Amino acid sequence: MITTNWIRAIAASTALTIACLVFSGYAKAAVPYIGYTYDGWGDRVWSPVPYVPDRVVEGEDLGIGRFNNPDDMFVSEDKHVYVADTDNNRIVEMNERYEFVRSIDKFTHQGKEDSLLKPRGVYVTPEGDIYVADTGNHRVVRLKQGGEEADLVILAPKSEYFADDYVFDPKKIAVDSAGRILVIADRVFDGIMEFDGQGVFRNFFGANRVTYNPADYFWKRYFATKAQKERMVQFVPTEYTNLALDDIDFVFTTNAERNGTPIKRLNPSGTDVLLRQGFSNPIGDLKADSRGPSTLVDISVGPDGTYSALDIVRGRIFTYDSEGRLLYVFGHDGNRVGTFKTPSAIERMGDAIVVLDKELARLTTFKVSEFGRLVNEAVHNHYIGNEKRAAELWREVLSLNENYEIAYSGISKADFRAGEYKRAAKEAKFALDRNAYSKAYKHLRTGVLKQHFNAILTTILALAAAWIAWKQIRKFRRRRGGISHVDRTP
Amino acid sequence: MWIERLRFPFYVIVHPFKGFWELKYDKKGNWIVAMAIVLLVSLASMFQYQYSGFIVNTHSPYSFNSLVQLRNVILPFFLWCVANWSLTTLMDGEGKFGEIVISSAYAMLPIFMLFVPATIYSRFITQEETAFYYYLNGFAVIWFLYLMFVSTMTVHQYTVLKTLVTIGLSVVCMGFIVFLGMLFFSLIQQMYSVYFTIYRELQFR
Repeated sequence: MITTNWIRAIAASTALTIACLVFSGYAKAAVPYIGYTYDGWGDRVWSPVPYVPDRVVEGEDLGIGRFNNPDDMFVSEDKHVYVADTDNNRIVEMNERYEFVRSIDKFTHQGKEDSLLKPRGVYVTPEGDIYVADTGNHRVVRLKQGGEEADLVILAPKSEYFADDYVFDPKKIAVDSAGRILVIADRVFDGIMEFDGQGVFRNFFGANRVTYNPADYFWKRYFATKAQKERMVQFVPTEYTNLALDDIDFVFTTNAERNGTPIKRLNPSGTDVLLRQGFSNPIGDLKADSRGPSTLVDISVGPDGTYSALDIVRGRIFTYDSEGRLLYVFGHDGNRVGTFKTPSAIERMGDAIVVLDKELARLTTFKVSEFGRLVNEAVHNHYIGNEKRAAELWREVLSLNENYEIAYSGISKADFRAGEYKRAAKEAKFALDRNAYSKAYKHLRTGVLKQHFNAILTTILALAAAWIAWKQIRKFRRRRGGISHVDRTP
Repeated sequence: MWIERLRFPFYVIVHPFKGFWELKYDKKGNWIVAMAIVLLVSLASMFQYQYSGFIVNTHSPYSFNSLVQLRNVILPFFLWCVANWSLTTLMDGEGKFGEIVISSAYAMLPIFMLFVPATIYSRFITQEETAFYYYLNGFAVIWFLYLMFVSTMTVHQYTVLKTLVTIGLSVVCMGFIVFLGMLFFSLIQQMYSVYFTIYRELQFR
């Protein structure tokens, strides 16, 4: 009997080990980073990896030589990938299987041969017009569908906003469906430059606020001498680092601001309308190591109002939902497959996420894992208002990650709608969602009070009657005892 | 006897001028009762930290440390007493150290009396009703500050203005004591590390 148990135990453990190796161990070992999120206390909690590295695309694979400091990337509506291969002075186009389509370095403009010089930004409209921030030539170029001929060239704008010696160094570019051309340029602190379809400068919009240390401000404003002031650093607003348009042409921007709002969503009048309803604002890492807070260099808009921001400091990708709650974090710095040295651009290719690394001169694609897929689907169902299905998916998410507070919050919402207030309150507590808890608890309390109304009222009346009776008895006793006055002051 | 002693603090908090006067001149204060109140107040603050309702409780359960909680009440209390006593002896105060300790302890009674029911109440409220909870707590603190003021005034036989100045200076003095304490400990640490390094050097020779 004992021996059979022994054999059984060994067989079971061997089977488990093999199962682990086959189903999870191998796949996990291949991922060179750990997924995590931040909980309601601001602490980092481990989470399954939402995206796993899929493949790496380098210039050599395409047969066009190594990329050289590629600074920007864009995935067009027909899923073609455009890479601004900055130091090779060209734009490289690939199809959705990452096969080489063409490379653009020369074009004609008004009958003359012209070429690109250190392009740092690229954007492609759904019609196929390619906009290039041709930084080295201080201009923006629009190439018609074929990419051979430029039909619009925007040079440094002439306006009272700009000094005479202003040098136009466009670095990032986007074009909305109305044909507005939005440009982020170096040394422009007044916001995003907006040009119309004819390339005429219209105005700036969405300027960042100036941030400074109050002590510095007072010193400079009231105490510093003129000579000191001249040598001091000017207080200027932070420059934008990148921009991306969502499906209603609101502009997601990132900036290198370290203690403010590094991610903004600007409406057409330039007001920041990003929702920040999570435990913490979308700023990347909440707890920084010695390298300081996250510096976001690019942002990519996903489905259902989600967005992913790329951190250059630690090579991480932060994805938030439409309400500004952190969904998951992945990525790491390093030079293994799936890690980055100087990531410069992030884009979405269907379900996949593509990241361009400037220093390693390669594209890395990430495919969604089981955990990531469940989260994305639940977010989608929540976004379209299908809370019931979302709750089912959140339960599956919880079976993979019990520490996932957003899932508890989703389940609580569904329970609340179904009138299950007790469960809703309990789940809201797990989710640390005080608002939802309060709502559910209010219903729960009303229910209990209604149910026991008679008992409660009877108790109160009985207590009141008992108190009055006690008073009467004391009075009676005192009188009988003949005590007319009791000095009760100590 | 004991019933009188236990009832006296309750008399003091509602009749502060008369109460503190009797505490000082009729010697009605009691050390044991005073220390019990300090302990109860620290227990009440711990109770509120850990057991207030989910809606108003923003403390992580991982970060609860009862020693830290004790430090938050008991240390400032004695710091206050020492600082106040050191100042008032120089400023013609008539209070003895014992009187300061006992009267300050009695002044803290409202905190215990209101924090506990407020905490229990907070477990049965929604977000719209949190105002009442904060009101109860705020009321306790204001009551406590008022009693502190009256106790300082009565025990040292000060005028209003002098009382306010003394209270402000006592707070500054508490800061000095903490600073000196820290300085002392860090110097001791430095000295220890110097001697330890010398010992190590000799050991490895």
